[in-house]
Amino acid sequence: MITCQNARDLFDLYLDGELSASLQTELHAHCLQCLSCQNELAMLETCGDVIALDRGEPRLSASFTDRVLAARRSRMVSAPRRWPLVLARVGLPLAAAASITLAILLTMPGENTRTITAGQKVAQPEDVQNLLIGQTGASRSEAALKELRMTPKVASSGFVNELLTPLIEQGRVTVERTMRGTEDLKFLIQRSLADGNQPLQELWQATQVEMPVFEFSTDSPGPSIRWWETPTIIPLEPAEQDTLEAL
Amino acid sequence: MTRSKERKLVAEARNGSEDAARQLVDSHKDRLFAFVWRIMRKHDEAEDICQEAFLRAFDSLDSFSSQYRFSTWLFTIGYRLCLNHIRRRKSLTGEMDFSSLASPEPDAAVCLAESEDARLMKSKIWEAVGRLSPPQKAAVMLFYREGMSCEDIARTLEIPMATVKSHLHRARGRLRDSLAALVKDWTQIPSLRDIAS
Ligand SMILES: [Zn+2]
Repeated sequence: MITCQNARDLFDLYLDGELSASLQTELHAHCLQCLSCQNELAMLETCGDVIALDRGEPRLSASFTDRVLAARRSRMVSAPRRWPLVLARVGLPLAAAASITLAILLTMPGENTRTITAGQKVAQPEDVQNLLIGQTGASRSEAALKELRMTPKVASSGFVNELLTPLIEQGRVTVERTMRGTEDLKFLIQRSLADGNQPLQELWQATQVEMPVFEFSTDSPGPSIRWWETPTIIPLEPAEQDTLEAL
Repeated sequence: MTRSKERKLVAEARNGSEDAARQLVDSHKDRLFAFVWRIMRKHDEAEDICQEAFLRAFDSLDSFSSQYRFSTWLFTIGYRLCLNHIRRRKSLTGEMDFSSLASPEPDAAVCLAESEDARLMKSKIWEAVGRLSPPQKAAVMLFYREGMSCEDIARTLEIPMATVKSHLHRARGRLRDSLAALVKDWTQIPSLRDIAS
């Protein structure tokens, strides 16, 4: 016969559905004789039932879906799909602007964040860095994490936070979109170059710009989007060639 | 929603179909909102987070891997956004996290058929859940409400499985401490599963 302590140690495994059949028998045998353990287990099971089944949450506003879709439409309209030369002109300055912003934020004279009064807005530099680099550690690349760790943690004043946070967020979204456009474009160019498209090859040669390769998180568990790389020309498989012509 | 239907809708939404996007929102919004609201306990904030979670999910449909469920992905994004909001709240208000205080916003009206005792007990249980830490609330909601395994919860919250188990363990300990004195004999509540539904 197991003791009360033994029985309680098994509660979690039992409730997680991970207790072996033989130990379940032991636990049940104990609970039949011990009202205190029986009661505690019943309480935990009741809690689980309520959490699982009681829909006590308020309702979402009726217009929720429409609002999401409207916001999605406006985001899609603002997504740029440009040519590489334009990208080089727009993308690079954007990235540069982002790093300058970061540099400004990090060199701002700091205020003491611990002595604020209630209601006063104070920038947490970590927050700004999170905005710039992505959301959580899990989605950041190793290189970005390393850079983040090396970045000094300093405080900047509330007004800087208020002023720059939306701008940075906006910049981040634009950079993300630009990069996605670049990916699509890269694919098209690879296909066209493999096809022997002469004018495009010339344009391509003229727009070769050396750009850094870095990863940018998109908040998804999938692969992250990569910054511009010089594409390798992939010759088309005959089957792909057929598909392409069929389009 | 079946997995194949979900995959089809995701593919259509990726190609710009608004109808597919609408179906994805409609079929996931209530579950996501319940999860987020239980963590935040503020209606406006929870709605904003849900909207942002959907937009971010749509934004990165290109990199969505069909080995995940769309809902898992939404919960992951929603949870990250909750943590960001809580962090921001703390930075605006000193160190206080109001989501861990008891019921800043009451639960919606409970159904009429149930007894006063049952109603009181449920509200006490939710109050105790409201006092858990955000990761504990998230783990508890995904485990009980969503019926996820500890492994799925670990993937969704992006934490090790041992941490998920410890969150559940500590959450149960805290529920027990808050509720033990509430009812003398919990074994005499046989009909709760029916009442709760
Ligand atoms: Zn016992």
